[in-house]
Amino acid sequence: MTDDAILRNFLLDAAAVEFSAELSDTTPVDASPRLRRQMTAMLNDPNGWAKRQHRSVWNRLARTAAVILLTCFLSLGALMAISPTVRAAVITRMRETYEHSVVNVTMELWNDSALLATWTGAGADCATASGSYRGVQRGETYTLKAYGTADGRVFSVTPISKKA
Amino acid sequence: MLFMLLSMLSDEEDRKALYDLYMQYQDAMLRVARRYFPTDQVSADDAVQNAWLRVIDNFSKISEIPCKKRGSYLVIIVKNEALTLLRKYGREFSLDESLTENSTEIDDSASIVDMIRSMSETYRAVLEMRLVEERTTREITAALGLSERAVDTRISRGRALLAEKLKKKGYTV
Repeated sequence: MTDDAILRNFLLDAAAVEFSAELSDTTPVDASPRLRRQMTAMLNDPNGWAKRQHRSVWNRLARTAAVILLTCFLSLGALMAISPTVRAAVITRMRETYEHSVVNVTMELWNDSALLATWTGAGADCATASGSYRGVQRGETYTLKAYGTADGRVFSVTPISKKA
Repeated sequence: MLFMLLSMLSDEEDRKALYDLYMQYQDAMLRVARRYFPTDQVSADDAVQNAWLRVIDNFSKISEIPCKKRGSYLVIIVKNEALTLLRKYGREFSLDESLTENSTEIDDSASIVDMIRSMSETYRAVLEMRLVEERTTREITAALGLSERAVDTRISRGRALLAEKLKKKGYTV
């Protein structure tokens, strides 16, 4: 027997003396439901249980979050498939969200009451509408009008008139 | 990682052996954990769970332990898991540098078991982790929050003292 094996035996003997009361007590211990669940899982599949225990906390949290998210999506999808009311509500909500999150702008070039050209643009934070009109004639007055929606609200800008 | 997986339970026979160990010692392990966490059931449960995790990870070592000493082996594991949790939670836990709890010289007439029992908690835990659980120095430092040097010093001092005592008792070491 090696030195370490002899020493190990004495350490085991010391533990047997130290915990003799716990080791010899035969009265059943009332384990918590949580521990019972874990131990049942361990006995059913020891290797699988050990692997799950070794996973990091973040890994477990990410998996749980993904499962919750997937469950929510699937439940919503099932509800939308079954109920037209839910479907309409979801579509309306999505449209509102889209409209509220997008800035739309329209620019129009007028000559008196004639609409000569239209340019549009859209964006999340800002919208650009640009273009050109090549039919401008000297002596005529042209007006540029700009309007659109931002955060779901309609806006318009004071028209600009200029003589060419 | 591969070593860990290989050392896990490989067949039905191992699973049966684990089940037998569980049926025989689960209550004793829970009692030991509750000695360290008398009012904290969650921590006691965690200590027991962590202990079983160690048992599964090192299941091949169980067969090297004589049957009648397996109970002691398991309570050592759960006790050391409880000490690890106590340290992690920042609860009162002696990191005493002295070899014995009362810092007095070991009486020559005392048995080796008595001498081990008189050792301070961490000294004994370090020796148990190395000699019984066969943990690496790094694993012990992580578990007890000691430096590698402190762990190595305790192991060599503890080993030397026990070896000296064994020689005095007539063992050839």
